[in-house]
Amino acid sequence: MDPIIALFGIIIGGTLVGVCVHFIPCSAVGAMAATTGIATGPTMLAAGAGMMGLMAAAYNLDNGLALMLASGAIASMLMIALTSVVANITYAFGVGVAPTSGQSEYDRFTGFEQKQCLTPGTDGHGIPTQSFISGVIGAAIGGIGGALVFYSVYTLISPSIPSSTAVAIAGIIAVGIYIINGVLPAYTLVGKTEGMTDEKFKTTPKTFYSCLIMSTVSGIFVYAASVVI
Amino acid sequence: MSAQPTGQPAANNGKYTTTYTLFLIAIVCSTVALMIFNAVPHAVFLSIILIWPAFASGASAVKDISSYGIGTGVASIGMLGAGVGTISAFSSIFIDIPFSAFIGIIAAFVIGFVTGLCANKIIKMKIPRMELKIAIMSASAAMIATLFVSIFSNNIDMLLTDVYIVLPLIFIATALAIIHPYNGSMGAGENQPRTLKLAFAEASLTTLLFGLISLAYTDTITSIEILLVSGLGFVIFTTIFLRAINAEIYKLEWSGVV
Repeated sequence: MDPIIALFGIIIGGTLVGVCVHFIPCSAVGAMAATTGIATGPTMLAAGAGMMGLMAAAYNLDNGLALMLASGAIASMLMIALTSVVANITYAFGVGVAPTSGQSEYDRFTGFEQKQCLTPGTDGHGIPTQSFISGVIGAAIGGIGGALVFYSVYTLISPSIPSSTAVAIAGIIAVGIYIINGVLPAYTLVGKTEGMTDEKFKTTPKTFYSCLIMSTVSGIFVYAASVVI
Repeated sequence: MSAQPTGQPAANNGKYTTTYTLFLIAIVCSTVALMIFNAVPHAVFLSIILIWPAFASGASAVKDISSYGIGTGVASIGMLGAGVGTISAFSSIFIDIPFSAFIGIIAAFVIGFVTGLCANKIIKMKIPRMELKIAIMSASAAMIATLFVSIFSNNIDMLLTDVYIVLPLIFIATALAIIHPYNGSMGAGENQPRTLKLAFAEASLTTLLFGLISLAYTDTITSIEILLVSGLGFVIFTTIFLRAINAEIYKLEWSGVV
């Protein structure tokens, strides 16, 4: 990969990571079954899925970019899907509530009525099908973005150091870029979202521009440090 | 947006130190720390002492931003700062000019400032001077990461190939040491002097951890210097912190749990 294309890889990957956070249903209030979503902060969940994707992507470093992006996406999707399933089992059999959206009358995919399962005084609970699918789509976007950042950074730094060292350093720099781009959307979501069906999904352009600028600045520095200077 | 200013804590008994002052102290101390390490590697214990203000500066910046009630956790903002700081510090390893470490710190400040600008102008967080606070947090994290990469590599300008194993640890340990002082002290009775005391205690604990890791990379004397000075610092700062807690709490009752 040409260094300039790698720079664009960091920018595109970083922006995808930022956008992916809007798809993943999460909320810290979810821990009390008081709102829809996985019970944690958007950043932590996106970072968890991202790191999973990066690890899987690193295994396919020698097998080409396409396979790397695919393995990154699949690993992230698996992570979010399993987390959602386990969270739903806990909500259903531990807390005793059904996965319900607090914002939709009917589930967009299954058509199930949501209001009748909603506990009064809460904003939903668990991860209903629409949020689950949204989360998996978001994880795929994030996984591809993370793997792209990783591969691009690896391409930039690998000529100057041994391959094994380059993989490790590219991994930690990619995690750093993932976390930066994961935190910015969390500010627009104010800590909770139901995924792509949430009202706050309309704020995605704000995230897009912020992450585009952030990824450009970070990418230019990594590019300048490893190639130019 | 939940940017509701809770106001700068007035109940600090007049001992409030601004983050800018702390950052200026941290810049001077960290620069001297790096220069000392570069000139006299065996005076590393001085470098360790001089890097502690960087932890305090980062922790104070986290406190300043988080006290406005941001839309995500304290941990997230600290991870953002540490993320910007460490990627800048680690990327500066590849810059092929003398004292490239300082370029990493400056880059962390600039990237942190741009992040804050995005948060305030595009996302409209409306937190006063958020740009500067994130920049301070990032630069503080970069100073810490730079010193420890330099110590493990025995050189201020290059990276030993084996050191890459500990880069994730440097990232997460720095992040935790910056996040936790405020996260651990927050609540109605939180005040800056006590938070900073905890920041110094955690700073010395973090350098103690890095001292243990340095046994694998540096000569034994250097490691022992780091361990001794960090251990001593941890005992002193923890004692000061516990005294501050005892002076400020209403009553301490032994619950018998621990």
